[in-house]
Amino acid sequence: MLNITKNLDAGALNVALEGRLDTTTAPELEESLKESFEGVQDLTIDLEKLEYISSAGLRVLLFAQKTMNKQGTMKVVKASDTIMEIFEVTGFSDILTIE
Amino acid sequence: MRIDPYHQSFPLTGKAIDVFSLQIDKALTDIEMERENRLRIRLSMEEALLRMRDRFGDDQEVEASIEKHFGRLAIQVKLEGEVYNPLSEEETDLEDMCSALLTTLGISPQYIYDGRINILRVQIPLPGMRPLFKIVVSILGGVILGLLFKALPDGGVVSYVEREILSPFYDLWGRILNLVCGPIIFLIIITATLNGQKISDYGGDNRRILARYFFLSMLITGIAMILTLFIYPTPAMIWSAEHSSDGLFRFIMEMIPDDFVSPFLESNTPQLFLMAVVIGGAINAMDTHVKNLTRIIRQANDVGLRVAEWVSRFSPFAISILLGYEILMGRTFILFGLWSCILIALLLSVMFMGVRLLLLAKAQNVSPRLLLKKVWKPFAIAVSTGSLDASYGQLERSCIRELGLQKNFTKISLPNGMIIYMPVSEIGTVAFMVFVATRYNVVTTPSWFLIAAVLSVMLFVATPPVPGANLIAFIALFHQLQIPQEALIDAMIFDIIFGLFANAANQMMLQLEMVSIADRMGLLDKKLLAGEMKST
Repeated sequence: MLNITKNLDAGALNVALEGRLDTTTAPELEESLKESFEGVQDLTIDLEKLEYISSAGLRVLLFAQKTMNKQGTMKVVKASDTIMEIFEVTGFSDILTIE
Repeated sequence: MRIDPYHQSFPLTGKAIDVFSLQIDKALTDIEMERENRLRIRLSMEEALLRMRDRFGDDQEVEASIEKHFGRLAIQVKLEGEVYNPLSEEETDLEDMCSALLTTLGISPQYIYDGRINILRVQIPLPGMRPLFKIVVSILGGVILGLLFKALPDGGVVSYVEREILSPFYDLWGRILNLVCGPIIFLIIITATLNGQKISDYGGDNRRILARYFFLSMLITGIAMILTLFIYPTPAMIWSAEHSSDGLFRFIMEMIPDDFVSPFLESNTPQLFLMAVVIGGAINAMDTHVKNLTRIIRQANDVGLRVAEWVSRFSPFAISILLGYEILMGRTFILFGLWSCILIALLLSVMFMGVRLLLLAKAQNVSPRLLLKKVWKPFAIAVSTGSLDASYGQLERSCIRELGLQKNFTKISLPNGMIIYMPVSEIGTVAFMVFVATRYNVVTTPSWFLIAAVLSVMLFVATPPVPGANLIAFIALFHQLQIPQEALIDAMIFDIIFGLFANAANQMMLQLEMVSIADRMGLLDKKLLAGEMKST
């Protein structure tokens, strides 16, 4: 189960995730992001309430990062220790901008 | 530990992949795997299934299983269709994440295409006996067995037990070890030669790092050898220059084998070394033209290391039986002298570790106590669990967060260094070789000691820190240094006790060395190194 809350303010898009970003829910996030990329220069993904991220979820984050590299910036904020561990183990902590 | 076998066919839908992923996590938790390592395996398998889904679609059915298989946990996925290896090196969608994740754990996924079925299998070693339990089973068990044998009434029964059970077992065990030693050493060295090219491909810095580890290993081993000689001056030493140079000359000339087979039959380590390095070098030179051959060699090496692992698992029981046999035969001195050797090896090792720590603390202007605190935790985990896998996550964290080593540098240098840099194992080995030379009156010359030191370093540089590999290295050294087979029981007991400390201590020495190397390369955060511990 994944809840996605989007907040667009001028060219800055804030996406807050709640629940699990796994193989079942990752397509939902991907679709949601694809709908919203246009005109966005700053993308912030708030992971405060995200409990788990799987390989499929990492793919979506990577896709988002590659898209935003062409049109602006992206950062990931408030990742929990569990999520940070996944980022570090996979090397995503070097790929993503994490605050 | 109980592992519930899992067999299921499912389509490659998101939900089904998530369910399988949870099953993987459950199985890995059942074998008490560390959390970070569970994540690595789980994420790799998820990614493999996602790639299969990308290629074949989510309607495609896979047959998945998780079960025990010859002492390992086997996670397997089968998919019918055109040939496709989801974890092949060409797949770089996620920066080679999967390969890196599994390689960090020393796991090589196996892929086979057979009868239009793609089979992907990952095999994970099951944790062995707890170290203390292993030592107790082997030594105490052997003593009890020996006393029981001695309690048997004299005459027919004792004679029967000795003649029909113990003596044949003693011979058989020795033959098995001698048989497997040659091929395993050959495969280890040829794989190390292939891997050496891979490491070199990272650039000149990595070649310099390799050279540094090798030089330090030789230096430490040489000094340890000299110090041990003061404690065990071998009585059968021949100091004549003629004998010595003859021995060295013969050693060099006999490195070239007469044929391909006899080095394996004789477990002739220098010849196997030379053959492996030459063949490995030739394969590296042919590069992409011989990819299949490289894969076969690596798989054969995996099999060899598996055999070494089985040897290691059976060793505690073999020690019990052999020790019981030695006690029955009245050779109880086995137990007494060996303790002094283990103690000396430990003292020498602690001395070198202390010196290295103090030198580094001085160079970095850091309190030795703080530095020791920072490297202590992974050491303690490795000693208490007897497993380097269990301590790897903490080791990596310690390097990055406590010692201030740059992350990318750590991720490449740490796994490579763990295979190549094993100075404490080398210290223990030379101390042990001198001890057995003394105990069994082996004729020694200065060139004998030189060969012992050089071969110890070469063997441990090439041999990965996996269970059983140390014992195989000892057997190889025995052949070369004319040490009698009677010393086998000494080697097994020494390995089981000192090996526990040595593996953990090698890690610590590696961390200290990496700080120096990172400093030279400008990859060290000195503020972090000098700062207080981040975690307790």
